[in-house]
Amino acid sequence: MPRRFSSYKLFFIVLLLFGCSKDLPHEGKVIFTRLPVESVSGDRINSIENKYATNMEIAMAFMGEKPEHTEVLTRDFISARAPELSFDGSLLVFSGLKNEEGAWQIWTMDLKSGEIVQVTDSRTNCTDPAWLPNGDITFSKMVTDDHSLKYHALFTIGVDGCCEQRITFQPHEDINASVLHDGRILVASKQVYPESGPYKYLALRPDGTKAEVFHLAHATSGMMDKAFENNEKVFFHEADELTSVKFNRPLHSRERLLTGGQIQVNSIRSFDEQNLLLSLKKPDEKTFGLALLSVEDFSREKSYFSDPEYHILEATEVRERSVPRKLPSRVNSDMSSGYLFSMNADASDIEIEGKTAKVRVLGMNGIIGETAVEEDGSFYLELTSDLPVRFQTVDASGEILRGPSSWMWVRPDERRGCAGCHQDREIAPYNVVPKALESAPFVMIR
Amino acid sequence: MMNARNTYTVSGLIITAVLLFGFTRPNGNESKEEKKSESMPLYGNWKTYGKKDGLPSDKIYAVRADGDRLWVGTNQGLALLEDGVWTVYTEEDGLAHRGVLAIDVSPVTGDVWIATMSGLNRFSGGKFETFTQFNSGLANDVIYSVICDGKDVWVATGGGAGVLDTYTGKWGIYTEQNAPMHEPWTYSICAGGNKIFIAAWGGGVIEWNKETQRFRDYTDPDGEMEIDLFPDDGVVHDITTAVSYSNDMLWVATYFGMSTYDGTHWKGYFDHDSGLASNFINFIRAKDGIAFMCTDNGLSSFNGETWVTYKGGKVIIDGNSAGERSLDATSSISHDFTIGVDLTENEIWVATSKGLCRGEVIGSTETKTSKL
Amino acid sequence: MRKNRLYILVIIAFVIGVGYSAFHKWSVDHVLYITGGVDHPIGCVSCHVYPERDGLLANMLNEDYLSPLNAAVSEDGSRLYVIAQDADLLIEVDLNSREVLSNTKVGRRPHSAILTRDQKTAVVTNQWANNIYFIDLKTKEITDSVPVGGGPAGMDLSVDGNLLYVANTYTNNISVVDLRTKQEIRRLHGGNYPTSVAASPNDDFVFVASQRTVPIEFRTEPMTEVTILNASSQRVSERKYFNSAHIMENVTVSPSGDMAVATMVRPKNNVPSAQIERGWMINHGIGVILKDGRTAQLLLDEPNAFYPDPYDIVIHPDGKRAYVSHSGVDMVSVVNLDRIRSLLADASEEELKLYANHLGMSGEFVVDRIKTGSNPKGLAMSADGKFVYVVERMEDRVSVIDTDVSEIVNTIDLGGPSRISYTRRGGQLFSNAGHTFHNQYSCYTCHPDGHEDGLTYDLTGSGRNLANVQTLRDLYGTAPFKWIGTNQSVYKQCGMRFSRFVTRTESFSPEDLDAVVAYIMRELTHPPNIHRLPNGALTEAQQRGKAIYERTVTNDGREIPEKDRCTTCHNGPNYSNFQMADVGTNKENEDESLFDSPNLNNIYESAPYLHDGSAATLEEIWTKFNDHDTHGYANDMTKDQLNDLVEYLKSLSAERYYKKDLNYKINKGQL
Repeated sequence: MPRRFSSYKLFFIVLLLFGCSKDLPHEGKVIFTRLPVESVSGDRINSIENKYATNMEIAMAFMGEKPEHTEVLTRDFISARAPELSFDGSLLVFSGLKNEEGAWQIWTMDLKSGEIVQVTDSRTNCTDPAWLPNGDITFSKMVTDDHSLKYHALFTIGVDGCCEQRITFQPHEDINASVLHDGRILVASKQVYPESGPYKYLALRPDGTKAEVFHLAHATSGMMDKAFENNEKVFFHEADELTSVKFNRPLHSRERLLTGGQIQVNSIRSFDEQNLLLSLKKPDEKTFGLALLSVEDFSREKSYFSDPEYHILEATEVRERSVPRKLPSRVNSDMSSGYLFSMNADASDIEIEGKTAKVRVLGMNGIIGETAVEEDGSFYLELTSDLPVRFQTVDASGEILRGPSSWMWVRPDERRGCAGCHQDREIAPYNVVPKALESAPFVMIR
Repeated sequence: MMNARNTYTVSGLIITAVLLFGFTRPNGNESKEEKKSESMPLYGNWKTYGKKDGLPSDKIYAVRADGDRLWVGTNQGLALLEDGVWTVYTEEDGLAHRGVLAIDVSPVTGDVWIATMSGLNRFSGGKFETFTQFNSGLANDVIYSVICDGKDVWVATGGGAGVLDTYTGKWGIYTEQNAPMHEPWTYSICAGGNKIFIAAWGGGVIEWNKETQRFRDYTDPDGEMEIDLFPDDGVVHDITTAVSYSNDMLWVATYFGMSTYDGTHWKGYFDHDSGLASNFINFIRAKDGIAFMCTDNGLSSFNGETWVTYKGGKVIIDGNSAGERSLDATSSISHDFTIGVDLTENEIWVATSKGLCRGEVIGSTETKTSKL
Repeated sequence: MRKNRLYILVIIAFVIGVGYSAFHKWSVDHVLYITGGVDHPIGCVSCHVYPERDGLLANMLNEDYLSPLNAAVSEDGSRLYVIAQDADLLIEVDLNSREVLSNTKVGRRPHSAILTRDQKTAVVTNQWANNIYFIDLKTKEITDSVPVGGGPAGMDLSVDGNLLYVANTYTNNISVVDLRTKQEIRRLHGGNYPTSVAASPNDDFVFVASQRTVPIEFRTEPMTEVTILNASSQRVSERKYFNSAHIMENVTVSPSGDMAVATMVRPKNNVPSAQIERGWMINHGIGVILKDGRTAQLLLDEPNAFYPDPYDIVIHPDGKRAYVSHSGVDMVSVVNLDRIRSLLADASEEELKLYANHLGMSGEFVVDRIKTGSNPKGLAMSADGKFVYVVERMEDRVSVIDTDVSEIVNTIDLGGPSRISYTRRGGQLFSNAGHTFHNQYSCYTCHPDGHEDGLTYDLTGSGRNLANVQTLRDLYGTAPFKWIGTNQSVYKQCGMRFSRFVTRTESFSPEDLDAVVAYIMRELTHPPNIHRLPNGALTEAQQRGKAIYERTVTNDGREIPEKDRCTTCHNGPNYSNFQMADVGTNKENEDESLFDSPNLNNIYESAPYLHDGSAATLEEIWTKFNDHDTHGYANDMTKDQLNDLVEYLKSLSAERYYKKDLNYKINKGQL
C-alpha cells in the first residue's frame, strides 16, 4: 500500500508526524508510581490493600537519569498511583487520595499545563483507571451489595465526570482493567461470593456486555495485575512470574517468560510494541526498579532505573499509542431486562449421564426461577438486567446435573448466547436453529 | 369433426393402399424384413426376487438395467442391485415418493431419473434431487414415464408431457393447450428417429419433431372405442399406454391391442389374431427390433414375425396361428400381471405385481422345440 | 447612486445569504435523511460523483485496474500467466526478471488459466462469455474458442492431458472437453455454483467444489457439494456434502492423491447472532476428503483471530505443506498436512464434528501465517515447490513466497495504475475483514463477487425477522435498501447501525464509508443474463411470460385490480417501484412489516427468494406462498403459464446493462 502514496502525501505525513511529536510534552520520559521502601515490604506489594497505601506518588523521570532528577507530579495528594496515559500521550489519568477523610478518586492531569481535574466524586474508593478508546475512562470502585459484601466493580465514566455507569454486576473483585486492541476491557476478576475463587481475566465490551473468560489464572497465582497487550501477546504477571498468552488463543498458550524466585515482577506496562517496561526486583536489590526488556528476548535488559529509597511501580512511557477499536454499544438503557439463550444445555465438557429437563436460574438470594429446556437442549430467557445470575441444569427427576455455573449478567436489551453449559470455550456454536427461539423467551424477571 | 376426420382417413387409406401395392418397398425395408425372420430368443431359468430377497416390496412397477446395475421401482421404494447386493431407497433418502413408476438412465451422464407418484428424482453421485410441480416447472407430480434424450429429460405426467433442458434448467410443458392432445394426461414417452413420441390418454400418439419443432398426432382413424374398424389404418386405439422406439419402428401399446408404425405404415395386433398375450398392455419396450409387451395376462415378445409369450407357466410360440407351439417350462415368471421389462445382453428382467423376475436366454425359437 | 448600489449589494448579499442558508439547511436535512440521521460528514461528491459509473468526473476520478485473480506457472518455472479479471487480459510474466512480457486480450471477465501438458497453449475460461479460449503461447493468438456452460471458472486437465474439466458456475454443471477435438463431449450436473476443479494425480477421481449450498429445507444447515467424477467414465461417482459450509472457492488434491482439500467458509446463519465473540457468526477453514471416503472440516481460525475468505489452496510437491490464501485478511496460512493426516487418521465421527467447530485446532496444524498485499486470491506453486506465487487482486501485483523460509521474497508489479482511486480503496475495504470484530468476516464473505451467499441469517438474534442476504450488484438507483426498506442509502446501510448489529466493532470512518459505498455502487454489476438470447431478444416462452407479467385481466377475462398486477410493483428499468408492499409473506412469529419491492434484474441468480429465503425457487413464490393472491393475482394460471412467467422473470435484465453488453461484444471483437 505505501508505494501507492505519492511522494507529496508521504512528505505531509512525515511532517504531520513530526509536528505531532513536537507537541507532546515530556515525550520519552517515564511516568510511574513510587512507594517509599519503608512503607511496605517488597513481598507484600501485590495486594488489594496496597492499592490504597499512603505515601505513594506519581513521578516522572528519564530512564537513564539518576533518581534524584525524578519529578513528582502529585505533591498535593496524600497518595496517588495507577497512572495511565491517554492514547495521544497528553493526558494522565490516575487514582489519588486528596484528603484523609475522603475516598480515593479518579483524576486527570494535563501533562502540558499540569492541570489536575477530579473525575469521580465517589464516597467509596476508586482505583485502577484505564482509558477507553472513545476517551472515557474505566475504573474499579468499591461497592457494597445486598449482602453487605464489599468488592470492586468495574465502572465507566466520561473524562468530564459525566455519565458514570457500572458495567460489571457479579459478586467479584474486578480490578486492574486494561484495554485490548480489539476495544474490549480486560479485567482481573475473582469471585468473592458464595465462596472465594481464583483470579481470572475477563474480557468484556465497554458497555458491560459479552463478558467472557479470557484467561484462567495459574492455580497458585495471587492477584493478577493489569495486563499489557502488544497485538500479538498479552503479558501479565501471576505468582510473581512474567507470563504471556497469545492474544489469538489466550486459554491455551500460557508461557512463563521470567520465572519467580530469582526476579520478582510487580507490574508490566507498555513501552512500545516491541518492548516492555517491567517493574521488578532483582535478587540483589531491595527495591523494585524499572527494566526495559525486549519481548523477543527477555534475557537482555536494555536499560534499568531504580531508586534505593522507593519501589518504582506501574511505569509508562510518554508517547502516542494506537487507539484500540471503538466498539459500538447495543445497550438500551430504557430497558430493564436482557435475553439469554443456550444452544444446548447438555453440550458440555463435563460429561455426565442424564439429560437436562430444566434449567434453574439462581440469584444472590436463591432461586429466581426455572424453566423446561427444549428437546434439543435449548432454552431462551428474559432476565432482569444488571443482576448477577448463575445456572443449574436439572434432570426430569429434579436431580442437579451441572452447576451452579459462574456468575453472569445481561445488560439492558443485551442478547447473550451460550453454546452449552461448561462448553469448551474454543468451540464455535453448531449451526442449528435452537428450538427455544421458535417461541417467545421465558420471562424470569425478579 | 369426427366425420370429417373419418373422411380424411378413408382417402388416406386409399392413398396408402396405392402406395403399398403400387410401389415396391425400398431395400431398407427388405433388410428389415430379413431381420424380422431371425429367430426369437427364448428366456428361461426364471428366478423371482421379492421382499424376501431385500426388495422393498413384491409389487414391482418398473425395472431398468444400467450396465452392471439394475434399478427397480416398486410401490414401496426404489431398489438397486449392484454386485449382488440390494440397496433400497425411500423418502428418507430423498426419494420423492415411495411409488416408483418409471426409471431411465442417461447414457451420457449416467444420472438416473426416477418417475414417482409425487415428483421426479435425479439420482446422481449417490444423492437424490427432487423436482416437483411446486419447486420447478414440472407439469405434474404424478409421473408415469421418464426418458433421457441427450441433454433433455422428458416426462409423461398426469398434467401433460414435460421436458427439462438439463443444461439450462428450462422446463417445457405440453398439454392440450399447446399440443394436439385430447387431454393433458400422458402415459408414456420415448425418443427415436429425431422425434419424441408421447402416449397421450385418449389422444393416441403425439409426435414432436425435434428438427421442425412441431407436433403432430396419430389417433385411431376409425375413432371406434370398442373395435378396430379398419385394420392397420393407424394406431388401434386413442387410449395409448406405452410407446417404444427401436430400429426405425415405433411400438405403441394400448389397453385394446398393439400397433407398430414404421414411419409409413401402421399395423395392429390383438390377442385374438396374433400371439399377443392380452390386449390390455401396461408397458412396452423395444430393443434391437424386438418388442416386449407387458400385459395383464403375461409377457409377449415379437420381432415382427414371431411371437413368444410367457404366461401361465408356459411359453407359447406364435400363438393363435397355425404354427402355434407351446413349450413346457421348468420355471416361469412369478405372475402374469406384468408391468415393466428391461433387457441386458443375455437376460431379461420383468416387473410383475408379485415379484421381479429374471430370465436368461436359454435358446431360440429355432433351437428349442419341446421343453425349456 | 452609490447609496443605491450599496443597497443593491446589501440586497444581493442578503438574498445570497438567505439562499445559502436555505440551501445549507436543505442540504443538511438531505444528508441527515440519506445517512439516517447519523452525523456523517458527507459531501455532495460522496453521492453524486464517487459512485457514478460514467461521465467526465467519474472517468477522471477512477482508474482501470487489472484486478488479477488466478495464475498458472509454467512447468520450467520461467513464466507466470496471470488472469486480469477486470482488464480481460492474460498477462505473461518473466519470473526471472519479474517483468511483464505480454498482455493478451481474452474473453469477457476471464477467471482461470491452465497450461496444456505440452506447455504450448494456455486455456482461459471466460466467465462472462461462457466459453474457453485456447491461446498459442508463442504467437499469443487465440486459436480456438469452445462454448461451454454458463460462467466457466476453474478447470483442470486429466492426467493424460487429453481432457479438460471445466466448472460452469452459473449453470451448475461441469463440461468435459476433449482437447484433441476441441469439443465438449459431455456436461455433467454439478453442485450449486461449481467453481473449481482438481484432478487426482492417480487418475481415479476429479473433484469439483462449489460455492453455494444445494437447495435445502428452510432453516436447515447449508450443505455444499464437492462433486466427484470418475476419471475413467467421466461420470459423477459421488457427491460429498459439507454440512454448514459453503463458498468452497478452490479445491486441490495432494500429490499422492490421498486427500482432496478445499477452502471453505462455515457460516452460522441459523444461530441467532447474539454475539460475534467466539466465532458466533462465521468461521473459515478447509474441507478434506480422505482416500477412505471420510470428510472432515477444519478451521483455520483462532478463538480471537479469524482468517476470512480462504480462496485458493496449493500443496507443496512433497505433500507435507499446503498454502491457503485468505483474501479477507491479506494472509497466507501454511498448513502442516502430515499433522492433519495424523489428526484425522483415527478420528471418530464425533471428533470430526467437534473439529469442524473448534477454533483452537488450527494451533495444531497451522505452522505459519504470511502477511501479503491486499486481497490475495489465486496461488500458483512452482513445479519444484520452491515458490508460491500469490495473486494480490487489489494490488495488481503478485507476491512471491519462498517456501523454504515462508516469507515473501519478491513482488511482481503487473502494470496496473499506480494511483489508488477512491473506488479502489472501497474495493480493498469491501474485501477486507478489518472492519469486523476480530476480522471475522468481510463484506465479501456474505456478498461473494458482490452478489449474495444464498443464506438467510438471524441478525436480530431473536429467532425471528430473518434476513435473506440480498445482492449488491447493480444497486445504483434502487433505494431504499434492506428488505424492510428502512435504509434510504447504502451509507446508512453500512453505517453506524451496521457496525452495531453486523460488524460489531468500530464503524467505517466517513472517508472509508464513502469509499466502500462508491465501490458498491460503481463496480458491482450483474454478469450478462444467461437466460437472454445473445441478441437480447426474448424466447417464445419468455414472450408468453411477458404477456402474463403485463396482463391486466385474468384467464377468464376479469380485470385484475391494479394492486395485484406484476407491473404495479415491479416496473421500470429495475423492475421495482421501490415502494413498500404487503405481499402476504410475513410469517406468524415475525413483526408485521411491509417489504421493499425487490428489483428483479438477474433474479434467477438469487435463490432462495422472499425476505426470509423461504421460497427455494421462483416457482415456490406462487406455488407455496401465494395462497390468497396477495403476491400478484396468480392462482388462475395454469402450470405452463407459470413456467412461462418464470422463464420471463429469469430473463429480466436492465436494458442499459444489456445494451452495454452488446456494445461491448461489438467493440471488443469477441470470438
